[in-house]
Amino acid sequence: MKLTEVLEITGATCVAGEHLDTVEVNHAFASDLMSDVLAMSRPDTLLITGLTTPQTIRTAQMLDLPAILVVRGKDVPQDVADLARTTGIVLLATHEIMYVASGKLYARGLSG
Amino acid sequence: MTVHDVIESLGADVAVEGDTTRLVTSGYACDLLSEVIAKAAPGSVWATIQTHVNVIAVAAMVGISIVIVCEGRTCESDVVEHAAKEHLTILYSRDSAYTVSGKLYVLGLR
Amino acid sequence: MPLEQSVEALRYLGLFSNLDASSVMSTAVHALHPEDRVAAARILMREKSISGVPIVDADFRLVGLISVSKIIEALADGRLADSVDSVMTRDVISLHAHDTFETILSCFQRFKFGRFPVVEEDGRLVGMITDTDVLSAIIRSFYSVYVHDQRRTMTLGSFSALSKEFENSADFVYGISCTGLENAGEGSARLKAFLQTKGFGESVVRRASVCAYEAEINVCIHAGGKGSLRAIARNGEIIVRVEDEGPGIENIDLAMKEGWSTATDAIRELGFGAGMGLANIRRFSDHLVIISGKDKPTKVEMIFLADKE
Ligand SMILES: Nc1ncnc2c1ncn2[C@@H]1O[C@H](COP(=O)(O)OP(=O)(O)OP(=O)(O)O)[C@@H](O)[C@H]1O
Ligand SMILES: [Mg+2]
Repeated sequence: MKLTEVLEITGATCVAGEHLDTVEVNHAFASDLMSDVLAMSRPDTLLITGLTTPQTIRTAQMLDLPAILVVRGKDVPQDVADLARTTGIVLLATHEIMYVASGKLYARGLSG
Repeated sequence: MTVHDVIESLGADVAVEGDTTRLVTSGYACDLLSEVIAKAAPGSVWATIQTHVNVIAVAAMVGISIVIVCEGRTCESDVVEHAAKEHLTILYSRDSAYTVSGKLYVLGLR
Repeated sequence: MPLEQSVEALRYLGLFSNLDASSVMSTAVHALHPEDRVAAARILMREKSISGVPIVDADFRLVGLISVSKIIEALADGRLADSVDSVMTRDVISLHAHDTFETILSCFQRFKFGRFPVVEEDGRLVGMITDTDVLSAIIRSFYSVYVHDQRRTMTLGSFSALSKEFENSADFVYGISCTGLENAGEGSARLKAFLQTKGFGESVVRRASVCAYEAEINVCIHAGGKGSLRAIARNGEIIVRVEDEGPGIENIDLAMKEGWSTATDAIRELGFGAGMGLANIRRFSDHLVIISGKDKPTKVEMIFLADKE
């Protein structure tokens, strides 16, 4: 699924990154605990999380994840957005809660 | 949808069963307890990978109807006992919180 | 295998690098003063089932030691009412609180006594070490070392717990210094960038980075944020070592258990504390050694093999 579709399905806005139509994810994973995310080893995964610390970006960076979808309408601090930009990770943000964002994406065929 | 329906349709393992006729109103996926306290609605199904005993306290406080512990994790027996006292249902699922949310959403729990 | 050889093997594994006399000794020590009577020493030995009593002056400085054989002599000579001073051994072989485990062992081997007093720099008695204390220290050290290896064919002869190479050189060095979590993970990010320049495959770099990150975060949330992250990347393998300055892990087997964590709720709100970090490290590394202990530094060393892919 292209990130442009993720944007449209979840009503998200793009906080950092560009050319969303060129970035593709094949899976999604939702968690607020970083070690839980780190246990997964699939690079082509969209990380869905309510955590907006620099460690969210670091976690994605370690795993080579292309994009993060921040849920629950969390404000993304400037330094976190900057870190996403410098590490080349696309950062999206939506007001939907994790359950609904996950449900909508799953319903549209993005597998776990 | 009732607690019973969720158990049936997810095919998850039942760790402890509370009131199965209880109505399930919405879903909430989250691993941050403060967030659940602040935002989850009473009657929600709560999907998490947390297995800490505080999960039960929070679930009872909010009025969660089912806790689904994801990714094949299980709770220590004292946590299960605690849940039984609170008449809470705990399910164990092999799926991730994303997939559990997806399946319930598709089943119509919006 | 004779005891000496077993101890040699264990020493080779680096199992005792964290043990010094102060961590081996027992501190529940009974001592007498020179003016006390020999009879008092005899009663003490019998009641506490000990085979030697250290003698200290008013400032608790070690001045002598009275052993069972001295008591037997005094008994034969009818001198139980005399002062301890008159029968005690004065040139006592003692250990210093900071003596290494090696020193302790060689002391037992050379002098054939069953117990050694342990003193501070100023001569104050702080504990006693018996052969039982040594044995229990050896047993305890098994709880403070964790070795995981998928290449289980290695034998003692070709393997030591920690790589010696770090003593001479490392290809990558990062000083971890972090208050709270703000820059936690930066070292691992740099390590990842460094490994990518070294021509390693994507997947081994990912495994090494994830594990380094888990270990670095642990230093920040469990060990006060001060430590080091070093790596050697040569000959198709990546060795990563993360060290801190304590407070250490008391029971590593427990800490390895998925879901076991001492993290506070505040840490869980920051996205950590699921108790999965060490389990992840075990899953993603090809070889793992952790050496720690209560009030000790923690050393985590992981090896990643490039040809595994
Ligand atoms: N460097 C360290 N110093 C002291 N204690 C540590 C250190 N690393 C781990 N521990 C102890 O081991 C436990 C388990 O560590 P582990 O990394 O598996 O989980 P965690 O850090 O608590 O949570 P998570 O890694 O999921 O965020 C910790 O809770 C802590 O008690
Ligand atoms: Mg950890």
